[in-house]
Amino acid sequence: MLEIRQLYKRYGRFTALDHIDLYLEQGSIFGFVGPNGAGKTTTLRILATLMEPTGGEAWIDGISVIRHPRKIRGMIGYMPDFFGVYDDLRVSEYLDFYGSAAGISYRERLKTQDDLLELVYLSDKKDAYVDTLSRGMKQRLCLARSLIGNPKLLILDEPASGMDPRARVEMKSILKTLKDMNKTILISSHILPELAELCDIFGIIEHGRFRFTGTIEEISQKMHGGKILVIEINGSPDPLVTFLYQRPELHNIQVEENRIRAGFSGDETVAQGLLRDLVLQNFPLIGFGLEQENLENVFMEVTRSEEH
Amino acid sequence: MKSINPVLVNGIKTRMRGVRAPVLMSVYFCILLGIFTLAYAAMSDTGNYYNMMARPRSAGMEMLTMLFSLLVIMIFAVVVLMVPALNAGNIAAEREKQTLDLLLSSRISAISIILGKVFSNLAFVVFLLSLTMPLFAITYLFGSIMIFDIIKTLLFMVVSAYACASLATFFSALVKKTAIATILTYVALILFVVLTIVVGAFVYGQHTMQPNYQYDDGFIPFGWKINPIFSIAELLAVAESNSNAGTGMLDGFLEEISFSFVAYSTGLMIIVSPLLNIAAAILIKPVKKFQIRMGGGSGEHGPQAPMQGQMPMEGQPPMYGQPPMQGQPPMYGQPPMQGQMPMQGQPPMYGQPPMQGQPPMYGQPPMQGQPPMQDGQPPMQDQPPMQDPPPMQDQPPPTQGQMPMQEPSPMQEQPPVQEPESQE
Repeated sequence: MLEIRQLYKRYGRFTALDHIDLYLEQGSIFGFVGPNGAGKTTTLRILATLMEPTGGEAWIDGISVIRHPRKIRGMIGYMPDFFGVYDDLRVSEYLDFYGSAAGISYRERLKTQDDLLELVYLSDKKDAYVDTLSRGMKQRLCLARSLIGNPKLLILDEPASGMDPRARVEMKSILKTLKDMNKTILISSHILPELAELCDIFGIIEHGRFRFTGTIEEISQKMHGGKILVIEINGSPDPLVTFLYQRPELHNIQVEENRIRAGFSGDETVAQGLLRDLVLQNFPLIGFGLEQENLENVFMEVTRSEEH
Repeated sequence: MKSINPVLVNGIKTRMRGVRAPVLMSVYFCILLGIFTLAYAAMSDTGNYYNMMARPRSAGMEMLTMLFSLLVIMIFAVVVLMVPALNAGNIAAEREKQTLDLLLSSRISAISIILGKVFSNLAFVVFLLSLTMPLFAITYLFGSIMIFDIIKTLLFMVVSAYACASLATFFSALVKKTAIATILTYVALILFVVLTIVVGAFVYGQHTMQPNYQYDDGFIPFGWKINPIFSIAELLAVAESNSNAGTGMLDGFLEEISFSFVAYSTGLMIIVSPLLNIAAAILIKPVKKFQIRMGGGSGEHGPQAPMQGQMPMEGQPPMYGQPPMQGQPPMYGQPPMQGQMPMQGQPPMYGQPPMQGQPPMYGQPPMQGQPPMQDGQPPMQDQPPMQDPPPMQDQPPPTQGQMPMQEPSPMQEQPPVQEPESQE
């Protein structure tokens, strides 16, 4: 659906994008994560035909973004990381304007308008002036706007930034609906957990390069060779730690008071065996569990390991 | 419906929204009417004064001609002063409001955006001009002004407005801030008026120096031809000569020359303004097609592209193996890196995959995660301790060539490498 090859962008001497590659299937939601200035917006703007790469290519459904920007514009919905709204326009007129800009006939526009407003929970604001809407509403309106041409690929730049938890939940459910409609979605954020539940695949980008791509599980697997095992012990952890060091399925053992965290490779049977051994050894365990990788940690770790 | 330029429709709609438009119109009309009334009153009172001047003529005719002149000058002032202010925000304000990107990423072409903006504002100016029609009607009343003069005047005004709007829009596309665009437009207009006169005068002076120069040979320097002041003077003179009225100041103007400044500059503006529109469109266009892209090969991608959708294996060789690839070295600038692969010295990196013929490639290659890792690893392999996953990222270096390499399984024993391609 989307293919990026060796995309490269330089501003003067600063390399914003350093030959990135990406391939996305139809219907997937891709989370673009990275600190500010990592190249997320640059990539998205190139895909939205708003910027020319210095080198490389990108295709959407086999059509070159660089060669055929006009065709591409009919296939994408772009939502920038700010809301562009005109004063003096009502919500319905706003959508109507961008609908006609997307080349949709008047009748079609009237029809889709209501559907879209319903999708983003703005049906009752149809006749309100755009500049009277709240921030969250504007964000949703912008999302509706980006959907107006019935695009195959949605490019959302920081759609969840500055949203309160409630707005985030709403945005999430909207995106779920869109996913069910088999749209391919590209979302960027500088906060990984924000995207955790939304996305199928993540790409962590930094300094214009992808550090990782894959699902959450894969990312944490790469980081820790698997899941994280947390063991809590009543008493001094030292003998336990010594014991754990001999276990091949554990690595990166960290001790915090009476809690031990370790990277764990292996499946549940291995965990079971380990627990059995620990109990047989009479260690005073009070907790033992596999922890889902904390995304914040993953992200911090990924970006930190980059620094040296 | 679809065919109407949405920017134009929207521009006209929002221009008339809110209090600004009615206020502007009221103020415009009041000023016009006020001055007109005062002038009318003043001239009626001092009608005798004018009558004392040489030629016998009807006081009414004379007055109306004067009023006509006043109208022409005022309207022109309004056009020159107001149109730049109206249009300087055409693009710059869209940038400030950050709506320009939204427009540019839609299917509207850049030139449609420019024209939509210019003409929606022009429509407003025409609307304002139409407010003055009653006043023109009064001047027409006594027959001193021909209907043709009025049409000609209005046409000149509208074309001037178009030219000013185009100029302002050009600056609006050129700079980021509306205020700067406004100032630049006024400065450009002032420079235009002043310089054309000065340079024209200089050229005229040169002309008179010529040995074979004859007085009254009808020579008019180009600068003067395009200068709006001469056009305005011509409009006034025509009216005066029609009515055989006026102060006589401009009487000689037409007799001496057989040249229409109005026609000339109108024609010129009609030619130049669209060029300004095109220039503005080029300025705002994000992806410039005419630009020659480095490496040149990119052109070929278009046709091949369709294949990519279908992960097929045979499709690829053409795809990646092609001319563009060889072109790459120049393109990406790092040909040498691909060489790294100990295995095959082939520079064209994409060339490889086909050989291996592995379909899986397509699933993964794009998945960037791996590339960095793999090439990171080979070097590392000797040192076991380093193999923990995190260190891998340390060697991001050449991202490119790697994906293909992935397939040559010999290299990687490490488990992490395989996992990444989750995502089909």
